Amino acid sequence: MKKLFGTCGKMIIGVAFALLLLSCLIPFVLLPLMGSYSTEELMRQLPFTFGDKFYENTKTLLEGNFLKVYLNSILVSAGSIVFSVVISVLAAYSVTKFRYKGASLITTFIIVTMMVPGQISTIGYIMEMRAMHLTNSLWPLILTWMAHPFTCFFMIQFMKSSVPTEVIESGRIDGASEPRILFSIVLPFIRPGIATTVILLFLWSWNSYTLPMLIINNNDMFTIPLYVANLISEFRFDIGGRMAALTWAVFPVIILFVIFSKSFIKGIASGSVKG
Amino acid sequence: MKKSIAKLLALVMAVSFLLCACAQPNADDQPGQESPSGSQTTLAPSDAGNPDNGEKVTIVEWSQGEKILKLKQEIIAEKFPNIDYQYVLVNNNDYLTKLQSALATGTDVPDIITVEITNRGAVFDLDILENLEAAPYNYDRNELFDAVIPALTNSRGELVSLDNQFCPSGFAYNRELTKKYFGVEEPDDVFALVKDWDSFIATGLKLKEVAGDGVYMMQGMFDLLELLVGQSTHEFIDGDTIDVTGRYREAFEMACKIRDAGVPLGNNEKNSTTWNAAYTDGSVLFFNHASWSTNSCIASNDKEQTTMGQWGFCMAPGGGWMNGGTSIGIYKDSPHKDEVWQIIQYFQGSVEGYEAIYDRIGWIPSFEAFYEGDDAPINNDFLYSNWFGGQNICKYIYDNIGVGIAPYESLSTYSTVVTECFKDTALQFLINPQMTADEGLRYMIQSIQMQEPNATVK
Repeated sequence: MKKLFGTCGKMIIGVAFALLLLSCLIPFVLLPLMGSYSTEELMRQLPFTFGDKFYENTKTLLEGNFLKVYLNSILVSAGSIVFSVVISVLAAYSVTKFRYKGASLITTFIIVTMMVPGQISTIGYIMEMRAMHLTNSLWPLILTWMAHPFTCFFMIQFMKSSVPTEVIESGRIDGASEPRILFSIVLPFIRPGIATTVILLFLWSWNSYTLPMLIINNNDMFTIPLYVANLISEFRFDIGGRMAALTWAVFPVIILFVIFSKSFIKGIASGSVKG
Repeated sequence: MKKSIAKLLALVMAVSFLLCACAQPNADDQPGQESPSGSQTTLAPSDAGNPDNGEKVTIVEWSQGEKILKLKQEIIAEKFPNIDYQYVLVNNNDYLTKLQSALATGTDVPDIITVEITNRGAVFDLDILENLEAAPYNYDRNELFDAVIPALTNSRGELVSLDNQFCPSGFAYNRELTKKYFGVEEPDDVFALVKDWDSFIATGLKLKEVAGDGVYMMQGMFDLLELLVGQSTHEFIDGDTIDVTGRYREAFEMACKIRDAGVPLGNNEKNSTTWNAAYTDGSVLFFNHASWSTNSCIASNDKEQTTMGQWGFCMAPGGGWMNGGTSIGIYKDSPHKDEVWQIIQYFQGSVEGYEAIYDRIGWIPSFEAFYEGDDAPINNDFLYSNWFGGQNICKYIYDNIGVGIAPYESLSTYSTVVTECFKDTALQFLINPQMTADEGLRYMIQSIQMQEPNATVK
């Protein structure tokens, strides 16, 4: 009897998880599905099979400057990731593996800056970018992620728990230089943490709307969220086109997650436990 | 070693690529011109050229609706070789936030300030627009229809903006549907069905009987309320006192009466997907329609032109009302106010300038000269004439609705908040089919009071 309940319980839990999984997957299936129909067809009924208009909808997007917009988004996300990972790794290495006055103060400062809501600092940030004559470029969208407190904090926590100080000291005893220690010894330990940071930064910078909306004053420098927002207001009817645009927008996110998923999960798990 | 060099090179290339792609515009480049990579180098007014040196000056406008902006760009390039007109697409929902942010940070405020009717109170209140009646512009407000002046003047009574389009409205209807359900299709015959609100209710009930479920008189309570509120304009904001009850009660009560009588109304929120789809799916008989709606609502929702030639236009029960609209003004600190004024004078003040907009977009202006004389452009067909089976709806709108239409209400600091709260209340009516007029009023008063605690809202 107990065994039967156990089996039934497992089955119920399995079905519940399957339903949960399905509900998470449905939007990802609906996007390309709806993007493969014309708006008129979508209005008649919600389709369950793929149509033949995806190419046509994509062509409509390309007739605008979607390709340029797409490249802008890639550029912003790639730049954000490169700068932010480099800075957060260096900051974390310095704070966790060197003993000097003010190290804990720096960590506290990073945590405090995390508490400040982004909206409050936006105006100041735009003024800063203006003073640096960077407002008519993609730089403000990249620099905002460069010294991001969360990525630094996450990397500090990760490095504290995942990189044994003894290994670094062994390297020093063996005469390795500090850059050599960082690149050859520390980096392999923190690879899952870097993967997690990469994915999170990519998601944040890729989907960022408010800052680009406020700071970008050139249609050719639009990123995908801005483009989609204006696609909605200009072609309010073109649901097929909008869905095709969103399909292309989520595509890199999915690819990136597939590539880094194992490290991502490992990174999240490791970062959450103090060793 | 080779591997390390390759990695280093890849890194250098990636960084170079980033630096190149994100680079600041070259100081030698002409502002606003295409860079070799195809991107426009800058749209900042402060970077624009100097007209005294014979350089092109860049004039920037933020707006939505790329079709009209492209048309303006083409015309300006041809008509004003000294001006490089550039536009930035800004969603109307973001316009005010973006403008306020630009003003606060001192970055790239556009030379031309475009304002939707819903934002006008808030934008005029920022005090960033030139008084167009003062020197050197000396615009004479008598050139405009009296009805539009309250919506173009700030709280000091200064004329700071000019209309992009004149917006008297009536009903657009699908001739095939009226013929199918009522056997009539000509505007006068269709108007007879809805000549007053009692006739509208009777026609609605007959439609329910003949067509059954799934066919509606209008797209929903939102559109009905918008119409009724638009028809009953009168001043209701006096200093810090907002008389919501006096202003909206009559409209709310009539809307509830129509709904409770059983008139079939759709369940579409304005500008939603289903609201837009209703233009082509044969589910709705009457649509609120101004001259701008043909381009923005009918043609844009019917890409395959399946309803071309099937539309008709008639008066709505209770008369005409002003429906939406955008206006433009000159930013006070623009370095090129003269050039902006040249553009505004051409499009907002000359028959020649507006004719292209009428021809290609189907808008009509709010200055009288456009309608005077036998050879007035309003007598000619325009791009969308064939959508209405040859009926010149622009002329119809002007002759039957525009002349003598009730004026807009004066704008105040509270106008934008009141409009937003009205939209929210209309949405509540849509969500809750049992909501009474009193409940609607209470909801709206509370919403306004929450956002404007210092105002007296009654």
